[in-house]
Amino acid sequence: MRRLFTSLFVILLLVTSVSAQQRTVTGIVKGKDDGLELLGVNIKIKGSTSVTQSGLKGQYSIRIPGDNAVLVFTYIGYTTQEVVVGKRSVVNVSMSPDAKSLGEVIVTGYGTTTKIRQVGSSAKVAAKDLEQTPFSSVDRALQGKVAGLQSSGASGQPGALQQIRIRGVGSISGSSSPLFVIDGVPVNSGDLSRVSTSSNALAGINPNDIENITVLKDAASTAIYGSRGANGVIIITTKSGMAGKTKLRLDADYGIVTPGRLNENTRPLNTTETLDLLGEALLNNPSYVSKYNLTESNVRSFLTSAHGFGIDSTINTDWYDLVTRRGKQQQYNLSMDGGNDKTKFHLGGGYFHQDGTIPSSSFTRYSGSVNLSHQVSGQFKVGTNIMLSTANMKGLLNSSNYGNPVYASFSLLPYLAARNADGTPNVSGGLSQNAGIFNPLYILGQDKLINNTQKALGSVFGEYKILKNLKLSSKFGIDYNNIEEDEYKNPFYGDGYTNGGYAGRSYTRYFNWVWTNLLDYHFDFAGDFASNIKLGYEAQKSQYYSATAVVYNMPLNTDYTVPSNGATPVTASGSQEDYAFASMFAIGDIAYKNRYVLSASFRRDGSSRFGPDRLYGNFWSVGGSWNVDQEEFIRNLHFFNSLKLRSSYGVTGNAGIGNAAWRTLYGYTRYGYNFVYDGQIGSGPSQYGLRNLTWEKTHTFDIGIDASLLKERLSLNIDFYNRQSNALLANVAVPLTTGFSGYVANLAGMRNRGLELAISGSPVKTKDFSWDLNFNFATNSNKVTKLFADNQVSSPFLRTVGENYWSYYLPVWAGADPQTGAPSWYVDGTRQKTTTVYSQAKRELVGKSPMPKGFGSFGTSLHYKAVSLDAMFYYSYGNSIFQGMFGFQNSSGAYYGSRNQSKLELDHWRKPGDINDNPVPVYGQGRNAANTSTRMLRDGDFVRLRDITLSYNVPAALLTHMKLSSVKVYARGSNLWTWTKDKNLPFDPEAGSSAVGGGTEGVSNFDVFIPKTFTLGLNVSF
Amino acid sequence: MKKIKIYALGTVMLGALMMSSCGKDFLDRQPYNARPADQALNTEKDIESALIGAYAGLRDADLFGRTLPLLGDLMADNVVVSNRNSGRYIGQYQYNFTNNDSYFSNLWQDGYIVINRVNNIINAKVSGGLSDQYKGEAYAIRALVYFELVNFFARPYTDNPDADGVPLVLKFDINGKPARSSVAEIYKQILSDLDQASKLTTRGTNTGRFSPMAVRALQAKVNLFMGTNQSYQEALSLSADVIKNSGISLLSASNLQAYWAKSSSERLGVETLFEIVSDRVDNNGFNELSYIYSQEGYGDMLVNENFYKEYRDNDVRKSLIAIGVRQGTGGENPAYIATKNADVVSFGAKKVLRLSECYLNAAEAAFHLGDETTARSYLQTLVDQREPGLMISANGAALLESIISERRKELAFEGDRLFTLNRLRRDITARTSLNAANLEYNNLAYSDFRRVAPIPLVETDRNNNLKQNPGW
Repeated sequence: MRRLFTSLFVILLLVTSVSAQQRTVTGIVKGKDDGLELLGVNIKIKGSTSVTQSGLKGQYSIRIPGDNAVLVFTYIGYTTQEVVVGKRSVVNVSMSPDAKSLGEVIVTGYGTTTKIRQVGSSAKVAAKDLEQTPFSSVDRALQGKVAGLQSSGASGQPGALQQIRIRGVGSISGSSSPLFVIDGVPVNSGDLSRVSTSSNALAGINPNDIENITVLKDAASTAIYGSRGANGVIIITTKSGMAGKTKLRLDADYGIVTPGRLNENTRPLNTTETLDLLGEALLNNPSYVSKYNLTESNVRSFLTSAHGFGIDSTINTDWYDLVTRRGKQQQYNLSMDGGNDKTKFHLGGGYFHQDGTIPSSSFTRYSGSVNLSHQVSGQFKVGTNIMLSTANMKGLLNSSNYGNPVYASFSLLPYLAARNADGTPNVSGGLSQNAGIFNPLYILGQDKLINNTQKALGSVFGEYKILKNLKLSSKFGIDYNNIEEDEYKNPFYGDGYTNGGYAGRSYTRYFNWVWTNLLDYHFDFAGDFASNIKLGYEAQKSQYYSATAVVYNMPLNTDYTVPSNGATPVTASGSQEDYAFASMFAIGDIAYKNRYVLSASFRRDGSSRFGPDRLYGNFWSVGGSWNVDQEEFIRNLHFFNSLKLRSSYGVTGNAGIGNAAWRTLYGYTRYGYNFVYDGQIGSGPSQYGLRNLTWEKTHTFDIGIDASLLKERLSLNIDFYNRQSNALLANVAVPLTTGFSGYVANLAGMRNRGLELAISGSPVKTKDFSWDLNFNFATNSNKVTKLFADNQVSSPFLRTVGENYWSYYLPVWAGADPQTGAPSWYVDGTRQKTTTVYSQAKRELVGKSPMPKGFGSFGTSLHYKAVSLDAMFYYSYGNSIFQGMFGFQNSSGAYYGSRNQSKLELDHWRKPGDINDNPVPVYGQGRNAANTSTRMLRDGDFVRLRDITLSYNVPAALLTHMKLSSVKVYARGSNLWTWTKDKNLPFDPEAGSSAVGGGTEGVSNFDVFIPKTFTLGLNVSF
Repeated sequence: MKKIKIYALGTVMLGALMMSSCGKDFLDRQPYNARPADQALNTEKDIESALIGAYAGLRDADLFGRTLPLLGDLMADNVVVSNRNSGRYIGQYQYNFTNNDSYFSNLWQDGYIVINRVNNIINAKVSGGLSDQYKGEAYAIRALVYFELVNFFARPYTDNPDADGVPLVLKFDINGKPARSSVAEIYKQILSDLDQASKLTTRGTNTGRFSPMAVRALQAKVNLFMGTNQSYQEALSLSADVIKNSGISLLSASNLQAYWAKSSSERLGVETLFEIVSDRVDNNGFNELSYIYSQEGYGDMLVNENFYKEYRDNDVRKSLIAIGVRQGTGGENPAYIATKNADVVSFGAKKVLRLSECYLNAAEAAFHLGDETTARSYLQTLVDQREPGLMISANGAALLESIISERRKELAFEGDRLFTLNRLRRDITARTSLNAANLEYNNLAYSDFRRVAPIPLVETDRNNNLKQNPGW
């Protein structure tokens, strides 16, 4: 703090005044933009060496030789102005900001800068890419928009979590998610729910309220966020009002949602196919053949007769069809902007509803926002940003839960009747309570999993311009999430049956406040130098608050579903958890003739998450850029419109490490360790922690080029980065005789290295027709550099120093043995010898990983007069998806008659000499064919038409008499087309590209099908 | 004007400063459900809390909640796993467990978790008031857990006291990699802990906690297990003391059924000296002992038919075994179902020390000391309440067989049998009534290395000072 005051005084001392002369011209220089006086404007007499600068109040005075004198006013960021003095003795000048020399405004941590002063690597996504998308949360809309940002969601459940990874995965047991900062407030993101299968705190934000999103990638841009910058930072700026006529805008769309992709090659079998396959498998099992005298001619009647399997071959239930649906998608947004010189406002209101592709899965959000700013005086400005929303998500179980309808759709046998004659769901025979997987029609109709989240995000701020170039601002923001979850399982059938019905209610609240104080000073000196320095202090506290109640034995109907209706309370719990950050930071840059820019940032973070021996951490970055286009020799080429080389290096941290991980604790708990005994609560050691446990540390190097050429028809960004993450949290295993199994310490390391490329161009640009193209591409390679214990198997992965952290380690599948048709594996990595004994097959590092080698997008945009066609394709390649559930659907006989099989099973080994990947099926005997091996690995490469929009702008001539300023109609489709390299990939390629834990583990989990959507929309502005 | 601006600036910065000056406090966000370990054991009340926590640890499914009372019967000749089972404890039943067996590694881990809890209590710098009583109970718990661990992971004291026991940990050390102490050293510690316990534990009214008499009963049992002349004398006099002075009455024949049907813990009075409490609210759920015996739960564990036949018809204990049918394809019919622990709703307490056992301990100790009259007399008192009319008249080896047979029948399904056979260095025979020719695990010689559990792989991986048991 003291340092801050000292710096402030130094800054004040730099301010100097100007002396006067005779035949003197005086005046005041103001900015045309805000009418405020400009300090430090260079004023020169043309053709002479006489120079002065404007003072604190923009005042200047200069001695001139005569009336013909021409004054040249130059000021960085403003258009140079020449003024003939004439007879005047007072020359007041208003200078206009020079948009061109500055380039566009770049959002940075705690402020903005200009393109020319930019040093870090960042990318911006504009409102038009975020508005009216059929995606429930804004992070879904980011997919493909930014090179190096991987956005993937395992589930098509609207409102579910989306994993965002910037430049690879940088942590093992800590968080790998970027920090989200919304209007200056670092918010709690991720899945904050406790009961829902998946939820997303960002789904409470209406993407239509967002003005732009800036993704900060390298150390120069993220180090200012210190211990939370290592995984990248995503800055969301909401819409604010503009002075002028009040504008009203209405956006509406309506459409349909259908399951994205069912692979015909791997679809579940129908009854005829099932009977054929069962017959074949029975004939291959000698004990059945001899016991029932089976032959090719009688096996069919054995399967259908009551003495045999008793299959009713007249029933053919398409379970996939029954549990999927065509749902609705609709959203309506209304916004109003306006204001005057002093007060500006933006109001927004929105409704979003999307059905899941499974009945009873849906997401509905109501939202509202207010942005207000008021200029109290020339110096003082106040304002507020408020976003409120309430969202309702109806979800489902996932994974191999018997109550998961998606799992049921692949697993239930087609010869089971879905409904009784009276239309009620069939819950007898093969679908009875104890038979295994439940009839999804019953579960979907009766059981509930509901999440209601109320979100409030708001801040108030004040800005005081102490001097023209010295601004003090203070902002207090809150981020409030209120999550109410209800789970109900009926007492008659399904998961609730054994407990006589189940009702659970959980309440979770996250309240997070942040207070930021910032001093922003910019100054120019010696004519050619310009500098900006920001100093800040920030305090933040987040509080988690929870309560849970669960009861059993519910009323014997399905109308009363809240815990108060239950007879037997089984869970009553409530707790709290807090974390706090206190930080000081400084960021500054200095530019010489707009050619060379040096920047540096520093942040000192203290956090309750860090042990007392390492309570404060220092993070920093340095960066430089060279605007080559400002050099004469480049200008003379008349080829580049802009060309910039930039590079940075810095140290950032990851504080996503658990709120009390450093503490050594004695717990008083019932859950986790149960210390309750005979009706009394006890205590006991619950955690061993290190007093020096602290942030994970990432050293990032970045070098990049930004270029624009051919009259700005082509632009290009290239970045190379190297992220070395050290001090990653890892578990240290200790002898169990200590009373603990281990503790976490900062000891592991990994490296992510990659290349990012973004190109955009306009091959055609005429009055009526234009064509724009854009392309982005990113690679990332991950390598473990340090582990607590090398070569640890964490099936299906092996963790080895020098390898990708996610390296599949599996026995290598060799297909059906050509002679016997039995499943076979290679004995070892040499792949010479095969074995039909699973335990003889050695596990190998197979050189595959769930992390894509590269991913990106390409887009095209065609405009002809009032018609536009926009399309974006997303692609990802080089990853393998582990189909953990493969074994049930491709069991070679083991699960025949108990789980439906995939169509792949029909094509299998039949006679000696056949070369086939699928073994001969033997009823009841899988012969380990479904055991973990490379057979479950599928190539994850895919290309998908992520978005296509056709729009028409109604000509202005038709609108004027209707008092409308613009009307646009459009048709939009998402995920309409998908290509996968692997023709036998059963599920959506995205479903396997993300999972819990490390973020990208490549295991598909029977989640709600990722949808295709098709919407028609209307946009009207008044 | 400039001054005003500086004031404005100063005010805001001061605000920030005030907030930051509480820095350390602001950043000290204590958990709501736990306290810093170094502040956890500073008062008498803290010690009491920690002691409750230690008892709670004993209830774990891998200790007295299920594994301990189960394995003593399952790995001996009292209990079999049904053909139709949930896959639990198959390795222990068929004696094909590995050094990576999770039941043994959990038993090891949970044992040392409780040891750590009581070590902290014993080492806490708090004295006076009731803290001595609590520390006394902590000593007793430590003795009990080491007794169980050394029984499972080492050869009995009667085999070779100098053989490897288990690591002796008396003080928390996160970096500790202790080697195994000898069996004799472990027993020495157990006896010393029990001495402390009996000095410090002066009161006790509840069966769910260690009372002075429960401590004595445990002392007697430990001495019996050591099998030396001196220890038999100790065992006899301590048992006699409990029987005579505890004020607790022996479970009578008429109360037997009701006693085992009752699930809640109670005040000291009849039979029970010490038990581990599970109740309707705090229990191991599906992992409770009763759930694996009861046909309303997993029902995997059935009584060995050979053993059932040992009970004569007028033995009231026979009524604790129901004859039923194991449901499902291939289920046993008849199935012999133990009902000692059968409550799958309220679960109930697991008996650890009972007065009946004191009679058995006294009888056996007296026999080994050559005092057959005393031995017969203790045994007769017990048998009168179990198999009315049976007169104990045997002597010599036959008397010992009677004592051991009564011990088996009395303590069945409470986890004693394997350790009795171990300390007496006997083979285990006729473990099942199935066709013995096919069953490699039907008989298990005393010398078989599998009579001693392997030191868990997870532990030998972490501590290279540990020597594995022979054969593993």
